[in-house]
Amino acid sequence: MIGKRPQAGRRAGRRPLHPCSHPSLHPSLHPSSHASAGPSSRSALRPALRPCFAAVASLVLALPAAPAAAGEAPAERSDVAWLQTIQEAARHLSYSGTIVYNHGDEVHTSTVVQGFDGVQTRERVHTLDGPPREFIRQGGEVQCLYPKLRRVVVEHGGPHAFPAFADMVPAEVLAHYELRRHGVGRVAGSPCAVIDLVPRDAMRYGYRLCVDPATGLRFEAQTVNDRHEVLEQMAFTNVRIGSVDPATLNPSWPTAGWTVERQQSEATELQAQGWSLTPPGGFHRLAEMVRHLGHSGAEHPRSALQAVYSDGLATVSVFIEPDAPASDDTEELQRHGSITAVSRRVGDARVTVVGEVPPTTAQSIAQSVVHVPQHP
Amino acid sequence: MKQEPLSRSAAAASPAPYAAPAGAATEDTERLSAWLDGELGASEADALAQRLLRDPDWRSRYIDWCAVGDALRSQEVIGGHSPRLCARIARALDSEPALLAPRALPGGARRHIATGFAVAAAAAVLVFVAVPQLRSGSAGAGAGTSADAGTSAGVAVADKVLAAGDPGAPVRNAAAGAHAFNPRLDPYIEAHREVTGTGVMPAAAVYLRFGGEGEQ
Repeated sequence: MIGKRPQAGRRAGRRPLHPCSHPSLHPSLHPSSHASAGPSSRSALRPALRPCFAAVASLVLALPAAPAAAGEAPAERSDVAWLQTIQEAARHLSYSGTIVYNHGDEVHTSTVVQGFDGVQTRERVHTLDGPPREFIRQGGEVQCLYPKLRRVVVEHGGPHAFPAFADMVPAEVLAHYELRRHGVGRVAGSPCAVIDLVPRDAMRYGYRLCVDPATGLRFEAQTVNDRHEVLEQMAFTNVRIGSVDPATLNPSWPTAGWTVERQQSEATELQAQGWSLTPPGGFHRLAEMVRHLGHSGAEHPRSALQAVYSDGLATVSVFIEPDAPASDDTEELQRHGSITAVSRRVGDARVTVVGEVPPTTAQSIAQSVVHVPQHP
Repeated sequence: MKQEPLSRSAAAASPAPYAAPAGAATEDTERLSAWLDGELGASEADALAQRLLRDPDWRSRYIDWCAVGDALRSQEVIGGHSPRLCARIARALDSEPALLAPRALPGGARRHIATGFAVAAAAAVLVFVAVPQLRSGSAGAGAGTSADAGTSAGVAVADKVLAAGDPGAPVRNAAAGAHAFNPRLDPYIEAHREVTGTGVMPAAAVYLRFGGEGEQ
């Protein structure tokens, strides 16, 4: 399909992915020719790096763009090969750029740098609007930096701890989503392959991706509902693919003396805790745990059972808080962008479902939660 | 500030004027942004409207900004849909210039509106990269390269354009810091982020999707 004119919108009324989409662009243009804002000058803003960051910074992150899909030409790629190509970019591609992210009625702009040193991938996301924030992922650990609060929140879930695009199983994804190709679009001045992941049932959202044919990097990604409305969208406005300066992967601020919070959880089994629920078709259990909710310094610390389900792309969490105090707003459904949150009471417990799924899916999960008293 | 007139063909073939170092254009484009925000006084606004009518380059650039705004939140983006203030202003300029500019519309300017739309698709991305530099001094993060900071400002410009056009369906910039969900749900949403992985949306988007809660 690459290089051919895109097909007319498969879905009635569907607009092109991007106002700048252009069918006649030649795919031989490479995104690296669109040099991004060079984040390297940021290093001047970080006079005192912590030792661990400095150690990482000493690594040479100069790996070339990962070979995509074992050398298959984009036009000949199978569905599985396309997913593998995207997966490979998520895992091992080095790049830097600026992204704009729309979610519901919010717009965020950030610089993004990802570097693969041959062993580990490190990623830094620096927000450019709103309160300064930074997210630095290394392996399965994500550090969330909030300089105004001088706080670092360390999370151990993250993209590598749970199945995600970097770890997905293409066959599983294709069991729930149909991959459709739509020719060539354009993002950040570069041509890309337009790929839809169309859900095979109403239990999940669909996705539209604009993927660099050469490397598999997602130039643009949208989450769409069954009315073809875009719920969230991420797009690069400029991107440079290839080696990155290790210094650009370090925090923007010296974090010595900041409060460090580590989210803690402990594995458990829902059933052993006296609870049962039925996940929607295609969603399998990823984890069940007891965890703290809120920050460690919260006024009223509390814990909850959390069960996590995924269909390979979308993820849903179910929180159960036995003996939670009743409140007026316990029964509610809220949706923002791609996220749905549903709360209801089951006996004395509060059940809250949060996930990137349609409201009906979240509701069906919440409704399926039942208390199963344990009989010794 | 010196602006080279931008011919139709030049705009379509080479958007370089938009991507030029922005120091010289900063003041004027900030004024344009302020105008769209309704922050200019009457006399300044009038002068600027007249310049839009008079100067094909300005009009082309203005329309390109609108294209950028649309690109940032395509019509399909829920909550981002608006009556498109830019388009309305462009129409107003075209059909009733007296409303915005007491003076007669210079010949050729109307024609350039259509030209601007025609070139918008070709130039929008580069414009976007360049426009931000125009307001780099007001970037929110207070750090980063000029182009980085500028991109943020560029979003702010587009954001204000659409938000001003439709107060009933505001498009908020992250700087607004408003809550999308009931704050009671924040701990759950934050806990969910930890297990979300990257899904189809790249990891960066996942952080941003939930990122504000850490400030609570």
